[in-house]
Amino acid sequence: MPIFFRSGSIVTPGDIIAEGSYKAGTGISRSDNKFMALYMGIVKIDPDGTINVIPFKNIYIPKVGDIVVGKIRDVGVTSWLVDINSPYPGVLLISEALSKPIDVTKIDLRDYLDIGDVIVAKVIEFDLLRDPMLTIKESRLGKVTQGLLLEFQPSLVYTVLEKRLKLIELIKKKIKCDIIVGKNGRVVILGAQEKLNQLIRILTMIFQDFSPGSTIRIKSYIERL
Amino acid sequence: MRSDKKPVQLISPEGLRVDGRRPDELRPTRIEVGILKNADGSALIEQGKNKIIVAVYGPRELHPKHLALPDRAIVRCRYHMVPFSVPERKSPAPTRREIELSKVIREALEPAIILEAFPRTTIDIFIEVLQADGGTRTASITAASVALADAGIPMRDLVTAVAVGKVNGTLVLDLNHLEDQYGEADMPVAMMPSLGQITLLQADGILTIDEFKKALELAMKGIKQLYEIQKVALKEKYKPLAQELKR
Repeated sequence: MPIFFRSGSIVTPGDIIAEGSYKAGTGISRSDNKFMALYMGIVKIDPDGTINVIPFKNIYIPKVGDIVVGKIRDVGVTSWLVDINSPYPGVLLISEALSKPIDVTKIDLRDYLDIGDVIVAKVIEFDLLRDPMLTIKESRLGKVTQGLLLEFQPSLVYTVLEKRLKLIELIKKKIKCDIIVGKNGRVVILGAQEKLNQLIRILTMIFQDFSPGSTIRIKSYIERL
Repeated sequence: MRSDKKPVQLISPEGLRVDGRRPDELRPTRIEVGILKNADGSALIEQGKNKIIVAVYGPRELHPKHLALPDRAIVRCRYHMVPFSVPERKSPAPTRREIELSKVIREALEPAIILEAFPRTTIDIFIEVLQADGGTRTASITAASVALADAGIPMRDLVTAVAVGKVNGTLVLDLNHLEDQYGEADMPVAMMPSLGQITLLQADGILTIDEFKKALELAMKGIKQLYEIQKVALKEKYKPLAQELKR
């Protein structure tokens, strides 16, 4: 059962990572017993023999329950179209944005959300046949009126996030600020005016640095904040 | 300026070709990845005197919507030669040849792309030939597959292409314009090298069955070398990131 690429090495599409009885994780195509990379990215082999490729760049496909950071792209008669950094545009209906029904013949939807506004939303419906439906009718969701918007590769955000969520919590505890991480790769920082530059550097490391020992390094950076 | 006149001899008595190459030698090839900021993926290839830029956009929403397929993405490909790419000005309007090559290149790339991952969307490939010296379709395929990988589109394998042909009775690899024009046969081949599958095989001219087999072997040898160049080019782009992360 040979492994041709160890964890942490860079592969290109078509590279045969391993042969034999392993498990195919994400970013892997399998033909017979060969495990091949689908993306340009970094190999990650789990202790149980699951082979993954974390792509350097990939495309965000919405999933029900994902928190995403979107930008209003278009205002319709009864809905908004939202750019969620994906090939599929998000749809936000009035009923999912406002608590009371309104008379669309009298009220302009632009009064609530206008083109270019940034929102934090949740995906409530998506099946690849229809565009993803969003909602902002939950706590912590809704329009973002201040703060800083950062954009990362979606792949890095959702593969790395699970383990590094604690680091973000640590930052929040260390300095008074709020960090909203959208699964579509967009991150909103609220507050922390004086330490923005350091914070951007740390977040960049959290989402892009997976070299050995990086977690410890990031932690020490956070402590120095 | 390039001369289109037939050279006295396409193969010298020493067995060298018009540009001094051995029969089984590729032209010097350089691929650069990520040269266009606006595109999702891009690549530049220089193969001998060929110079081609490829831009990839997508997967993205498809307009007009009626073209969309419910179960997979579609690929749209435009191969275009700029007016100054050849000695005699070429009209910028798409010619019959360019339309056909667009289709041929699209069909060579489609088998490699995981289209089912992105229903109802489109992947757009734009190929601009800045300078042409024979073998532009194969160079375009080689560069386009690198640009697709750069765009983060999932692929079964890279697609690598090269032409083989017969000149003065000798099988030669990676034909240039003169050899293409005055040789006896020209056979472009595109492959997914790791999978060992052929995605494009065209042939113009006459080859015996034995010659065909040898030519295909020669093509595979060239493809293997080009495949390495593609991989190195892709990794080169992410070197600065990897180094920065090490700091």
